[in-house]
Amino acid sequence: MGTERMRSAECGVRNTRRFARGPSAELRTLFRLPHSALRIGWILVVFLSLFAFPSFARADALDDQVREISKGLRCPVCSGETVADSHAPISVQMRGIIREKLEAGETKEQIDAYFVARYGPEILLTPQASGFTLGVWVMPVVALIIGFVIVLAVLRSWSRRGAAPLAPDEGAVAAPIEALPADDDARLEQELARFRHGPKTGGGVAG
Amino acid sequence: MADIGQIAVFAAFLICCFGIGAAVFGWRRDAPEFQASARHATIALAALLFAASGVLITAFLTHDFSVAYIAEHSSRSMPAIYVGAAFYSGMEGSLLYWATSLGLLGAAAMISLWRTSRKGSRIAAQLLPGFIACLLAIEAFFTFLMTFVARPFARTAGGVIPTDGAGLNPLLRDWGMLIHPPMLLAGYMSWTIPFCFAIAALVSGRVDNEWLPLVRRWTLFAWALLGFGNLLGAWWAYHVLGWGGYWGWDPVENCAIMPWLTGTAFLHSIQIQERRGTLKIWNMALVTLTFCLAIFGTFIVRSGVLQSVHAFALSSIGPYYFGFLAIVVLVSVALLFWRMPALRAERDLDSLVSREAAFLLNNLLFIAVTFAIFWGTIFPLISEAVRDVKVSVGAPYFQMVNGPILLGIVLLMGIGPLMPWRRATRRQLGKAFLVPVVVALILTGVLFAVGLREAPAVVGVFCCLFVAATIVAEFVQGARARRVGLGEGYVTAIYGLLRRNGRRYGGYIIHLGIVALALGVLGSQVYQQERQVALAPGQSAQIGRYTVRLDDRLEYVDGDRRVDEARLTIAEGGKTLGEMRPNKAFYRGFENQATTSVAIRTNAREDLYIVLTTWDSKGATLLLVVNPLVVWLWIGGVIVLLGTIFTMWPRPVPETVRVTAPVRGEAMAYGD
Repeated sequence: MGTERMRSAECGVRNTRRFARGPSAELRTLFRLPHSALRIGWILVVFLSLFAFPSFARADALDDQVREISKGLRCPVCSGETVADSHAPISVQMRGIIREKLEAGETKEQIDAYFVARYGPEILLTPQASGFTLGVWVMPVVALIIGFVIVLAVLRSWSRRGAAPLAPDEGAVAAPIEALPADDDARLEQELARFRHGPKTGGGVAG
Repeated sequence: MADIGQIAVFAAFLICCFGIGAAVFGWRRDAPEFQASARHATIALAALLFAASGVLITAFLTHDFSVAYIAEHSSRSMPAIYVGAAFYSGMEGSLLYWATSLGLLGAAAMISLWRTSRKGSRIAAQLLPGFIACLLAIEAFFTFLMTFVARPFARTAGGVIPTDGAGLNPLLRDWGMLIHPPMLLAGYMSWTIPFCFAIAALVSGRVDNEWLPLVRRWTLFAWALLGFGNLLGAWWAYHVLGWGGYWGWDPVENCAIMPWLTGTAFLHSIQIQERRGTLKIWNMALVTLTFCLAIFGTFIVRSGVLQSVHAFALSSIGPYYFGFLAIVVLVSVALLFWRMPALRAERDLDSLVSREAAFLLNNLLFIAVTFAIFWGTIFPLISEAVRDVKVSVGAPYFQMVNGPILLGIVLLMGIGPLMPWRRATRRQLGKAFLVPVVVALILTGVLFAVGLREAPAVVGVFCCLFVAATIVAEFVQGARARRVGLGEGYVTAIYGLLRRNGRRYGGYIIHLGIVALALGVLGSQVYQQERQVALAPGQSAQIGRYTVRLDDRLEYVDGDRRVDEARLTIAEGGKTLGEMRPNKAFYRGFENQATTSVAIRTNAREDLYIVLTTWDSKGATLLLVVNPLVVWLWIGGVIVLLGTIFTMWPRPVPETVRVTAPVRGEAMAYGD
């Protein structure tokens, strides 16, 4: 116990009473909110002003559309570059074709179909969400759902085993922390937990 | 001379085989002299591979074109500094580099483990034989490949010694290329150490939590190296490849990021095991998965497999690599099943709303994003194999699928640390979350009013701000606690926090770096502006706030390259900002493969990024790009790196001794 006291003193936090949280303390935490919010706000404002607000402007509409479509097409002669990013003459030419077709009023689907007809389905970087290539879209979602179900099941099985020995009242919140390994980190966390509960009520005043 | 290198590699292979035997025999029979022999084998292996690498470097420097590898990857006119890049520019050299660096790192890890065991650590002594055997088995595979399949010191075919070599690919003649690939390969390689620790823990039956503190630093090291390798790759792509971006979701990039993602999951989930004793099996699986993905990545870089399944048959080394991967998986799974009784969970959970749950969710998302990347990367192969139709899965797919998951990870980065272990009450959560959420909402509202309208940007910026606010709040709260308790000033208090709780607050620094990185990605992905313009000298074009004027063309010869340069004047609102000079260079012997040199003007707000595409009789075609916030990507990356180094740094304050509950399954494990 002695060493424990020493350690918490080292860690630098006053041994505040754990459960000293009357309605007044509650109110105080409520009132303290704008103050600390303001402080954190200021720090973030400084952080943000470093960015000096990037220009939110967008390039002109046709440029954007050409870029949008050409980003979805694979450069036929380079390895792993899009038509939008490639400097190869064929890509430059393809961007020109896209622009002409857009000006002629064609839609993205029509333009994509035109290139697929010429170069095969490999030209599309975004696999179509139909037929065989639907699989590429569906599998990650399915995997995520399965994973989520597994995680939930694991958590439930843990909590079924764990909930029994503990009383469900508020007092149980802080108590298990004592059982944690007595390293600095756990100690600090414990102290912080106490501090959060009632920092200004320490020193025996509320006791 | 070159024969000495090949002999050293072969000797290294023999040493590996001997060392495995000595380690296993010494452990089973408890024979200290054999155990010592195994340790010496590890060191001898490192020395032999180091010598072999020295021979290869000497061959490069002396232009020994009787060695095929030298003739294929260098030339007389190549500056000596690029020997560093030529070394690993082919399959054989990268194998040698991999094996040598693993030999050195493995020997260092072995010595540190040996020292710890000499200081009386039982667990270190018990892990040592398994660690050595696993390390040497992996090295045996690499030295086997270099002896029998891909020999770095093979003679030039036909016995005719060419007068000059083919030279190094000009794309690699860049300082970024001198450090990015070796860093990435070293990152792959260094995941071997945590994997060997895990196997040693399984083999020795010491699967309780005691091996984790021993492996923590090596894991962080591997994580930082691989992460930094990836960051350098992005930097190189951005500054040299000249397509305006830094990450193209190219198969090679995908393979490089996957082990980093699973490694990140591992770094987080071992914290649950350290704290709560659960997830032992999962952690073993994660470290094995990370190692396998690292091997996969190493192999992918040098083979044409991902372009087409048919390239696989052409690569001599492919079947060996897949055989090796299969063995790694089989052995790991078998060991896991063997130790299953000892791996059972020890502690339980109280609530679904807790730190543990947040960590599990974090693991789920990391695995999900890894799976999505893996699936998208191999899908073209599946399509080709199943229906013989080639399809492409490119950047749009990865952005669409991974974007939301990555955003979820960022959000969890804010939620997780605020969750108490075991159980959280509504009141605790309200208190912890109210301030950061309010701050983030207000600031996002301000940005919305200024003109931030794109949905992904709004959501992303909110998540980033929320995480930043939680981290700042944690620092403020910790510092205030110390201030109240010790009467320290804020600066001293924050220093004290970092010094005494390096793991926790170092982690926050890393998270802060990730937030900056995420902002950089958001800015440049959502608000990139791009124009391709053709300018005659004297003409100018507008992009964003900038006016770009073409002044003239400059052509000159510099060493063995011819440079074709455009001189541009940049102005903003009538005010001249300065000159920019994008160019194209043509190397002797590679005249049809131009390398671009991008001109970039960086500030905290955005990058003006100009690429010279072509010159013709009328003038220049230029690619003008404005990439907002890109600099924060690099800054964030460096913060992450520094935070990791800080977290790994040995602290003067000794760690408090942990009292670990006796392990339930231990008796069983020993009884075997």
